[in-house]
Amino acid sequence: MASESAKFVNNLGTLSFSNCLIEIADDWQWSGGIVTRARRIRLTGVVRRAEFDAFDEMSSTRAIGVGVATEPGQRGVLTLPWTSIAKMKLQSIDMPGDTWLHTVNVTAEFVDDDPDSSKYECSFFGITLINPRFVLQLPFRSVRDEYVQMPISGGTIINTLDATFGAIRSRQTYDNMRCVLSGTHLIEEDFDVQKTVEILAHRGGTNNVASTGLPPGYPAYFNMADLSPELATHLPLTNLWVIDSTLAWSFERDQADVTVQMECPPQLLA
Amino acid sequence: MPIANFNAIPITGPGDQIPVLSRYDPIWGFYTFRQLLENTFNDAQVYHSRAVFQIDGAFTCDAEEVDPDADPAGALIALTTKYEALEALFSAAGAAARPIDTADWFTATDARCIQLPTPIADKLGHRLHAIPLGLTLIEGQYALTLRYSATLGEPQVPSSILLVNGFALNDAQVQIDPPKPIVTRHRMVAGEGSMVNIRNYTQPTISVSGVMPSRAGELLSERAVALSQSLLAGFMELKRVRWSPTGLVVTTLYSNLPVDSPSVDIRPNDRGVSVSVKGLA
Repeated sequence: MASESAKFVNNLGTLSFSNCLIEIADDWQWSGGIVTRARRIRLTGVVRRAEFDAFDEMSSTRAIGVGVATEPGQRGVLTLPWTSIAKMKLQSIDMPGDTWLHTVNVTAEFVDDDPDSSKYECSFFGITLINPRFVLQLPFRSVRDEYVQMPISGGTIINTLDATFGAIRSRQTYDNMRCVLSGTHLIEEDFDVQKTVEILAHRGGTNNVASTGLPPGYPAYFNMADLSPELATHLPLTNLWVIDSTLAWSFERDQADVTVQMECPPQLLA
Repeated sequence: MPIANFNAIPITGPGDQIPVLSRYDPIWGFYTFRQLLENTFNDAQVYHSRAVFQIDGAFTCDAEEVDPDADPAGALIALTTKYEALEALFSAAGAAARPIDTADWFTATDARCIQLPTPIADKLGHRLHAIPLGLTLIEGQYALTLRYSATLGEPQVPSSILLVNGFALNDAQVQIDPPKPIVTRHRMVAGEGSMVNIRNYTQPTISVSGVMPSRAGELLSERAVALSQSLLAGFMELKRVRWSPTGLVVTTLYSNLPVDSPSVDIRPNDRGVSVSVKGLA
């Protein structure tokens, strides 16, 4: 359909389209019981060069990554003649070969795939983890089987149903619980590697971690509510301590995969 | 927007039924320019754009001043010579080695880049360099006009580079293992959980890996040799170099880091040397 104007506003500026054509398509993707909806909007219209330049920080040598040289673009608000849609992604801008001075015909594609869920972020004492995962080993009593040597003398018949030839089974008490928190941490310009290492090791008495119960240098205990109040409602774990952690830094992408392995006494879920 | 102002000059070759508005360049012939800006969103849902340039061009008999009626064979040779020169330009850029110095990447001195014709320029008026992605000769009336479609990509330098003892590693991965407790466990006969004895904490470990480029025909680059020699002293220094609008920003991550089990993996066909080294803080 034809329209007078539409505009897209995000942190980089405003991109106004005049005399534009609008195409809207909705997709639903089914994966098991989860349905994901994505709305794609294509605008073909005239934009002013001055506005376009704000979205295109083209230079002869440009750094990739986030927060460097150019400010990263964020989701924005797309205003159509009859409605406006927040948190839209500007997916692409296509400028066909044409003669132009101050305006140009472009085709811009937007995607509205902002999920209603799975936007959760977690913080491990100041280290923000996006796309977090939390793997929890539930309390259990492990089983230990010991086996006796079967007789090998000639003529002996081994009855496989005879418990005499079976395993000697014993059951352990509940062991400590292990849980692993992992996620992606974006490396900012002022990233302090020593401070991050101290937080991940989480030893009491270090510069960024206070001692809790044990002498300085020993693990600092904490509760799930300190990490994630939302998770703590059903996982009210207490006396967690860090047993292992890693930070795998993809240097040129300015992001790191952080994994923190924790342990706590066996506890019930709420 | 990497473009200033296109003047409209119609292609006037005799094979053209419908004139196309274009520019003329001795290397590119008559051409039109198109730019596609694609945004890539990262895990934080912010985007970073990358441009793809498309140049649709034509070499014509008029421009090359040959007469296809009088000498069709000569006209075809004149046009194919132009196309082959363009193809050679793309081939040479695609086969060029990475500049040893990262600061030279994707500049006028980087042989991997092709300079786009004027008046295509960035918003500051600088000429643009692009890496070759594709070149297609389009079917047509070859004796009269050779048409092609060229695709080039915007080259971009990484935002951060790792320096090990002053030598840059490309595609660097740094794994940091913070101190972890050295634990002895005792299961209890009665009661729940384990009795845990913590003897001490391990020292943090920093494992570094990356690639150092080599020149064509060079198995082990001089820089890789120099880096390995610097590691013989038993210590290394890790620095982070970032591009910023005001210039390079250098931050020291670790200094005097004791070196453990360094190794190089020479890969001649990749024209690079993989370097990995562990540091014990």
